Amino acid sequence: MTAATTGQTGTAGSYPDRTPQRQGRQKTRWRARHRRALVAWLFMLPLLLVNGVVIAGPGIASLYYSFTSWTGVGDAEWVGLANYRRLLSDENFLSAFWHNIWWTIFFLTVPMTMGLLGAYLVSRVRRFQMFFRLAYFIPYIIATVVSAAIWQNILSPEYGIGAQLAKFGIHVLDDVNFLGDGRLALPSVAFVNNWQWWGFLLVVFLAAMQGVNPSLYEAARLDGANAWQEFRYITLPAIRPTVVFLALMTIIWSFLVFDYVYILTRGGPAGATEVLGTLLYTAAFGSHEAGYAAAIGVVMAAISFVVVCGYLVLRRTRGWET
Amino acid sequence: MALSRRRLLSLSGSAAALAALSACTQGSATRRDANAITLWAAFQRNADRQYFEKHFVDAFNQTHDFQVKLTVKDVESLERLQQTAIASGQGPDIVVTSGPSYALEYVNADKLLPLDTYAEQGGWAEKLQSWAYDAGKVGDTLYSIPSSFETMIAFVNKEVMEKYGWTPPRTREDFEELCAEAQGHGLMPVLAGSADWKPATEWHVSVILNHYAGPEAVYAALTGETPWTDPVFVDAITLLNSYFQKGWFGGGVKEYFTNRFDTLNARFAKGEIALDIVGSWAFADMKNFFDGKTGAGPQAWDWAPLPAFRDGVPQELYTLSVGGTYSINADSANPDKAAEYLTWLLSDTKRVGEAVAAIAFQPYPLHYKESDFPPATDERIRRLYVDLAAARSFGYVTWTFWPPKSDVYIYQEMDKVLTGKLTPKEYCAGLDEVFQEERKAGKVPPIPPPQDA
Repeated sequence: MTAATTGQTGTAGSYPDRTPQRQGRQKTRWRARHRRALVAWLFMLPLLLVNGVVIAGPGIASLYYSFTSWTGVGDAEWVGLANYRRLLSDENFLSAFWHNIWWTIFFLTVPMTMGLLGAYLVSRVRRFQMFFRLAYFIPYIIATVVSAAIWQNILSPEYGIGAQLAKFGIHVLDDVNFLGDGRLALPSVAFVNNWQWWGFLLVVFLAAMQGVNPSLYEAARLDGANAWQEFRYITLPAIRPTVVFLALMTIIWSFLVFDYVYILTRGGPAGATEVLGTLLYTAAFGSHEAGYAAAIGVVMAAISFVVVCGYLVLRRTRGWET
Repeated sequence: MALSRRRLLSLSGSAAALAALSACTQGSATRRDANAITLWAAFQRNADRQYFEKHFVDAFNQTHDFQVKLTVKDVESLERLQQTAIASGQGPDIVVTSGPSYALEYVNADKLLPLDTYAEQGGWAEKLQSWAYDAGKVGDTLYSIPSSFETMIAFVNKEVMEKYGWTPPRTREDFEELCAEAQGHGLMPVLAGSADWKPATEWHVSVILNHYAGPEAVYAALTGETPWTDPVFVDAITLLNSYFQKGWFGGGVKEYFTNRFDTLNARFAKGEIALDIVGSWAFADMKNFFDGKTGAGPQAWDWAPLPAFRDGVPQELYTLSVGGTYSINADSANPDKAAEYLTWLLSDTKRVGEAVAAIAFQPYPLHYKESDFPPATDERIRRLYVDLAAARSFGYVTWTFWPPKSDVYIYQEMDKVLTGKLTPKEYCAGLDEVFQEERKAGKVPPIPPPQDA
């Protein structure tokens, strides 16, 4: 904005004409602002470059390939929506999709409940709290491949927990094959994944709980609130942003699950633990149907996108960010 | 110009990112070295890797004016990494694949060079067994040569056989009698498991298709003359499923999915399993587990051809398997040198024979004679490769002669038959649907005839 446009031209002798000085200051401020922005962008540039190469580029390419019958090498032939139509009638995809939904429900309930409850109980412990925090958090820092191998042995019908109990005359698990029985395989893999995961939730929830104003609890106690009422009416509302955020991430991660399933069962037995991630992998590198695999990937990304949008809407409409 | 701390930081970050990105192109830079060719490979055991490096790479490099640069990858990731590299116009000069049907994917994408001229110059057609040479052709053009060959056989623990008075089964009746008796004695009749290798199910499907339906029927189906819904295939799958349901394979269906090879091989050596129906690649396992400590001693194992599960199917039938292929990358800067190396690999049957003796190496399908193997070679291993080179009845394994999608279907959906989610008839109908789709798309590799291949 210049002086001419504001009409504040002033008159000679009444006020000194400061327009050039003002313009100079504005220019300086403008330069400083732009310099700060430039520096900020320079800091972000490496990350943007890497994200462009690792995420945006392959993401756009995947979207394109999902409309082709690409084999993974050579030219891609445009097939329109054929891959997406096939998804709707592919029993393996529908089964894997259902397994992901089951997985999401499981991880939204079991570990979240365990994490919340565990964090609340640990928060009330006065002595050795650090010990409990560490004990529950340690599984999270063990490499997936290591913990999967450990649990594979524990669940093995040949030398696992069932076989060890049998040595002591306890035969309750004699006919139980956790990873070989189609009805038990998915819950078993989820159990192993949960063993590693819930301790992390506990620590995050505990950190959030420690930020709750203690005077609220004191006031509640004066009003005669019991432990459950304190948790229900003070703790839970106070840590709601953390709970909602972790629920959001749980949904996204549940649709991206791959590692434990691949290591423990490779989607078997007979597709009983097949999830979208393992199905995509087999389609791309086993059947050489990279176009179809890209369509599965796009669906997975779309689900995450919808979840994030839902979260943002909730934040705005319900004020869940505070 | 003076650099502020902020600017220095931001420039350093950018430089690091650029350096990281430029590192991505190093693979191609190596390949475009005019005096070297590149080969990516994966090895199950470190001993195999060391032997190959010394005798198949270093030995070549010491006697030639250009170098072979071997890059070792993880077994599970080799094909995935290579596929990604080749798709972007990179990758090694010599391309390895899991078999002709996988090489065909690269051929269809114009990523492999025709090898006919090189084959003629190097005499590859004379060096390789004819079926193996023909398996690398698409139409009349050669695009790949086998990097190993295998066949499905039955391993036995001779001490177990002697103890129970059994002999390796020759017919379906022999087989079923042995399995029933073994189960009665508390043994696992047939070593089987898929926890380590999910596609292991296709080994058994390959066996039953060839040794029940017969190689003529399989050939007819692979060439599109008959559908996979033919009753003979449905019966074959029904029979295999019945063996699993009886608990003969792996001790039961549930156990089959969690059985691990190390545990099974140890039990086999201890005499707890009657038969091991597996590929000839398992020679190395026999050497490892029959060590006199885990179980029986080194002389206690032997092998026999698989039984004929139906009248009219040849008794001395070997299902042929190409364990992998070599081709030349269409983007290679040194195709002549790559071809020279391939010619060298095929040039010496004694060198391969020595590798077989030393590490139970899976040999190239050359024309072997007894004298190609050094005296130290295990007689049982030498016998297989000499018999195989002279055999006249061949079958087809699914991972070599079925196109990729059908191949995945074979083991993935067979697991559903075993768990009762699919009937054998539905399984064969589904296979036919997938196979015909791939056949129309030109994805079925060349199929050598079953006799005199």
